[in-house]
Amino acid sequence: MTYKTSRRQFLATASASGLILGLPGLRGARAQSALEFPQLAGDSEIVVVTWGGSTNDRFQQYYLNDFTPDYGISAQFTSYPDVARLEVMNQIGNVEWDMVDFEGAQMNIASGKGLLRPIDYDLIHSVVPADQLATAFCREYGIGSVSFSTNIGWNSNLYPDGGPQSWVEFFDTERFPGRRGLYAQPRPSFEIALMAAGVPIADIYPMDMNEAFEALDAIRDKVDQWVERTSQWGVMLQNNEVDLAGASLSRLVDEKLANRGWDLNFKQSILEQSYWTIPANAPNGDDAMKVLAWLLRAPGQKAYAESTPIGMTNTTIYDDLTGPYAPFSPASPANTADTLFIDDVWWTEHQEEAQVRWLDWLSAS
Amino acid sequence: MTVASAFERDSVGASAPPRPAKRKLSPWERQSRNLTWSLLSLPLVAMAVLFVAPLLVLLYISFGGWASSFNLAGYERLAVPVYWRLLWFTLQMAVTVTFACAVLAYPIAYLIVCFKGRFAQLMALGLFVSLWMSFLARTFAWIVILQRNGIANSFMMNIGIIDEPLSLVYNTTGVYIGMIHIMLPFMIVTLVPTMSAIDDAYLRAGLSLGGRPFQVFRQVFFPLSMPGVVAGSILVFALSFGMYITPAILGGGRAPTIVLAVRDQISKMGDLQLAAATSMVLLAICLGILIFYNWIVGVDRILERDK
Repeated sequence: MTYKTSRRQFLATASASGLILGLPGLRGARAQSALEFPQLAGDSEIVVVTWGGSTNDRFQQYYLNDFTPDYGISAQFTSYPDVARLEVMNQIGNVEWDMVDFEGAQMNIASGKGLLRPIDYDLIHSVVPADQLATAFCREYGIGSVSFSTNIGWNSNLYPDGGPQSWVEFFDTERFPGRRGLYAQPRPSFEIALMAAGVPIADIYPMDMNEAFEALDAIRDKVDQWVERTSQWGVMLQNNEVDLAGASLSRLVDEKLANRGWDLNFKQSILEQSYWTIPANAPNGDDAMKVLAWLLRAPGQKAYAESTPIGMTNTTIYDDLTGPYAPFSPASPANTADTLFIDDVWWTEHQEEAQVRWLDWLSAS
Repeated sequence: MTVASAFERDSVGASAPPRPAKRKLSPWERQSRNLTWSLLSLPLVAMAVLFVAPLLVLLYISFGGWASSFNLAGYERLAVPVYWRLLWFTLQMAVTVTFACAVLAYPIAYLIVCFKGRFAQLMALGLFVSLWMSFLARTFAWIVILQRNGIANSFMMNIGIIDEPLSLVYNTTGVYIGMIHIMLPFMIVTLVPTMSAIDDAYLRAGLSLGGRPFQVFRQVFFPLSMPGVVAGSILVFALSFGMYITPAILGGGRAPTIVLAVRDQISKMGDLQLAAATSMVLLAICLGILIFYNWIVGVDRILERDK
């Protein structure tokens, strides 16, 4: 008697739970057939390596929130993109990263060591037409993630008639008396020093390193602050530690929009492109490629570009950007008329010599 | 007893008089030895896996690693003046910071130990709170205080000590201020237990034998507290030697450390072999200095002198 009841109960429970367990599968199957891009469906959690901070929130919000529920691929984030670490992971046969936001030169170094997987342009273009993407940023082993701009900024209370219109003027201590700050890195300090020496943008590359150091010698005494990290700009600009800055665009824009006495322009601005790459032995490389194809679509790229002054690879977004950051989008056609694009190939070839000589030059002061 | 043990110590030498022959261990001794080894095995394995193995891997990488056959390229490429200049600066900074921390921490630790009760608790609390906060946050806090329009400069200009703001940060001055502040708690937390372990009876004995208070401090308390100073200095030296965020930010590019070069080697140049070779050289130098230091004012010698 009790046996019977319990068996009946058991069967009932089993079928009920079967129904419950089966439901998501059914739902998934139904959703999949109605997906706009069935080729992007997957089921893993990819590991995305970024430079941290708000980047991860933006990635989640603008690229994944409307992707993961339908397509089944989610992401977790970690820091920082580092070629040496990827190389070690590769050597010991345990690559943990699926998608890495490398600087251009890092990408070239990594692909030169065979650490990256070629981009599957058939898949990418099946989701985003080729003519929507900036061709210069569609490379064999990476597609443009974001581009960062370094701009001339100035204390608008101190120079109410306007700031420097070129790097030559930036270092004109008679017209613009005050304290100057630059990044404590060879890139883009080489480029800035050469432009300050009067070299036109078109003639910057290929750089001659000796000339670059001569140009740096010429501006050395005029630079009061060498800034190690982007996060330092905020505190430096807000407290007028410097009056003129060759600074991160996003930090300058933040100060300007908050009316804290800073202004900027795009004259001889310097744009550096970073790239999404996928490691050669990434555990979920296929799914990472699908996420990459999805995030290059205009809606996500547009929302991202409206949230911060940063350049995107999908060029169709620049026609109708809105919001406070829209006028400062660094890769938009309007703002790149007088822009130097960092040549990552030159930097890949000269990175080592440049780093060592730069430290030598800086520490000798 | 002491004579006997001293004799035993001496007899370890080359042609010593015959030591008591290896006698058979009693069951109890054997058991206690076995127990010691079995208790030690876990920490020893943990040390080997967590500390020794990674170092050996790094050593292997510095000679070429998996990527290529054995070679010395990593070490050869270190032979450029810039690395030695950065190393020299780093050493200089670490030594200065260690010395300053020892001098500053000693009276603070002494106060914490002497004033028992609420006051000591508050001081200890302040100390730990500053240890809990991140290096980066405290580094930026120093910028707010020391910068041209910062609290320190405004205060001094308002009361008329200076007319022009002083350059207190973004130079080596700023690095020293920040580094000493960050390292000070490490020195104090090492000193306090050593000082509190000193038996009051020694001090009372010194006083009752007619020593003046300062004399008792100098001849009794200070020597007994030296192991703490030595341990604290080793800790602070090793930490300062490897610190790069604080010098990088407070130094304004004017205080590049050797660790900054290692960072560039790894993240910018992606050159693991060079970075591993640099780290090995740093490790060797750091160990050499610490062994030398220990030999001069080492814990062993102090303890031995007391016997």
